[in-house]
Amino acid sequence: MNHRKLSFGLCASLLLGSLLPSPLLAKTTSVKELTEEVRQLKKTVEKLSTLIETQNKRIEQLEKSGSTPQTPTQVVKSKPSENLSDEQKSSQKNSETEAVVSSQSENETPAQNYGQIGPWKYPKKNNLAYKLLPDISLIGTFTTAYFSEDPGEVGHDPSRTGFNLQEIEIAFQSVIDPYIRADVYLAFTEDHIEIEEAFLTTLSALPKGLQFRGGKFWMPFGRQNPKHLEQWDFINDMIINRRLLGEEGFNEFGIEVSYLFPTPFFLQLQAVMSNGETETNFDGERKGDFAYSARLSGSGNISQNTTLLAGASAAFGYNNSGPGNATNLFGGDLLLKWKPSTYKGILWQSEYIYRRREVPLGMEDEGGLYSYLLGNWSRRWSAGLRVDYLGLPKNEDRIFRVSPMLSFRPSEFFRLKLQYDYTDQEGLQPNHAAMLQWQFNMGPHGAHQF
Amino acid sequence: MKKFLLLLITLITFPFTVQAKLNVVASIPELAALAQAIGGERITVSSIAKANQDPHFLDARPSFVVSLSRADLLIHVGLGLEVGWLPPLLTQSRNGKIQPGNPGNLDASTGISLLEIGAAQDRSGGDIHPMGNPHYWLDPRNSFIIAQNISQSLSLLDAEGKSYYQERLSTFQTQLKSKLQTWSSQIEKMRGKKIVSYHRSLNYFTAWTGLNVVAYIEPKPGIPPSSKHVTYLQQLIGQEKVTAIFAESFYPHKVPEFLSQKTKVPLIIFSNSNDTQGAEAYFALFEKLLKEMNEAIK
Repeated sequence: MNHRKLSFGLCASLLLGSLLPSPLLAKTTSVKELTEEVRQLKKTVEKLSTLIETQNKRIEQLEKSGSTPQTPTQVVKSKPSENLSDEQKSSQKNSETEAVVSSQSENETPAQNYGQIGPWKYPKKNNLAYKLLPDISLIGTFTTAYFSEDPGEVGHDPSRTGFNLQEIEIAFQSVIDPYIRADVYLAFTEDHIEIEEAFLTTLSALPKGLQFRGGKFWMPFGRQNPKHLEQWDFINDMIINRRLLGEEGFNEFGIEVSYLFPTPFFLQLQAVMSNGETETNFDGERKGDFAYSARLSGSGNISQNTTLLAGASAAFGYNNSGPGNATNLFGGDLLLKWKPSTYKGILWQSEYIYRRREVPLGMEDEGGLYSYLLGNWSRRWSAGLRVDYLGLPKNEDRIFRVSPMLSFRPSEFFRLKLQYDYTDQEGLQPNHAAMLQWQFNMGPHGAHQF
Repeated sequence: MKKFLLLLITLITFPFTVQAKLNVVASIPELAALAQAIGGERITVSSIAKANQDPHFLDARPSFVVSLSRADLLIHVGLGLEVGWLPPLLTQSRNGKIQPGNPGNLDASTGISLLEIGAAQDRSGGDIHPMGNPHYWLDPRNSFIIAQNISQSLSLLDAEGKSYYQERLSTFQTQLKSKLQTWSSQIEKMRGKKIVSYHRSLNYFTAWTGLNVVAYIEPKPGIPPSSKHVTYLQQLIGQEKVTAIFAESFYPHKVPEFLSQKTKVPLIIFSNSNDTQGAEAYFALFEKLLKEMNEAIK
């Protein structure tokens, strides 16, 4: 636009210049003629100044209508019009002025700029402002429950007949700089606040395939353990996770190194060194009683809509039953998922965990598994059936539980779950439980790892 | 022994010599097709979302991490369309080249003037993208800019091919211009014609064609239609003399089919093709839409 202003100014000055010499030549002519000439000159100047004003206004308007200062737009914009015929050019001009008009009116219908050839700018005020705040989200999970015998407080599971707050989770997530990002999750329960997770993850600047994670986080042991409450497919946690990985789950301060192998399919190794502060498993009292865990997981696409994910996990550390008494954990998991569309899919997930603890009188072996099927047949409805079994290898503490579940999701940000649990524990009366959970999600926290 | 060593060296370096092509990953097939149109022989292209998948709610698969970890350039729609699945995949990809803020991460909406910016203050109106309606690739005129963005990114990453990309860009733009001229006679008949669309995804398409969306099958974005809303639509379609009903192939067909049957208004189900090979794949989408719409008008 500037060069137009410039050339116009040049034109005007040239015009003025050609008019200027005439009063000098009029020295010899009469005063009458002189005044007449001055009057005409005045008129011309007036004309020119009004012309300049209108031109300036027009330039301003045109500049307003194309206000996005994006270079790519401007570059392309000039290109297509170059080869157009005069007729098309004039039609483009017309619609450009149309755009000026419509940007001033509040009610725009998209049809105003139909049929245009060449890139188009929708008449729109552009008031996009980028924020520097982290993504802040809050997820609330409440459950109304009935138990034939109340289980008491265990992790984030509903604990009593009546109304329960399972958790209010607040998440702060942001990229910190070009090299790392940070994720912090605070959990508010009925009687305390805890840092559920708080960790840094490297984004780049490391050798290919390597990634570091440091802070407090759910250990990558199996599939269920690293999941947050809102990612659970059922209302309560799996029995083996509660019994073998710790009531609060396997969650510690530590550092993780993970490596994505350069294979044509997904193959990842995660290795963690952590404080060793999980009750009954890794609460050794000596200084330097750390816990070490590792997970190898692989995945492939069986067909366009079917994914298989298999993993093996292990953990090693010291328990507090005596100095140097070790705890070993082993786990295997398998996920098969068929997902032809957003509205239809079936998932089958199973996991086995085995624990061996050294105790003063010898060894303590415990193991168990869970397996569940989950299917959705519409965007909103899904249903699942889960079986939990503790007592493989055989153990006095045999527990069997079966849980059918129905889930209704009115929108992406609100979900209701209804679940029934039948629990049969050796030496105890069978326990029945019915639970209704409602869960809401404020803020952008939507995406999770698969 | 020398021969063996030579063979060994070629075997080791072989993967690198072959991998000279830029590896481009696009989030949706349309962007992949445009990338192929500009990148030609100098790039390999793949799309994360497939033709019949809803790009809002893609089911993240571990294989996506693998393809992202090898990408030199990621082209995404932006404006929050992929927010439900892309961010954790990006983190897991461990690929610094394609993290936001790097030349290998292209938000294809750059420079496009958008509809519905700041349309939603909260989610009471459904799942609306506050940064603007993200379905901008459905107005072919926006591809002048998308293609320009892609050409710039490719030239940044592969300086040697700069003139090649620019040449292909101008070829594409000439092609697009002549297509637009061919289509202009077809869309002339469409101006002001009323349609019903499943999602708010056709607003750019209607901006171009002059079609008028009178209602959406979703009462609010992301909310499936209730029976009450279907009854309302059925009445409205009759009253407003709606010409056609549009739905993307990945939405449930039951309600659109029911409405089409009851009101005798043609149903246009469209999907992008799985073919991501260049400009023709992108143009085919519009050819189909225009053809079916013109048939509906008749």
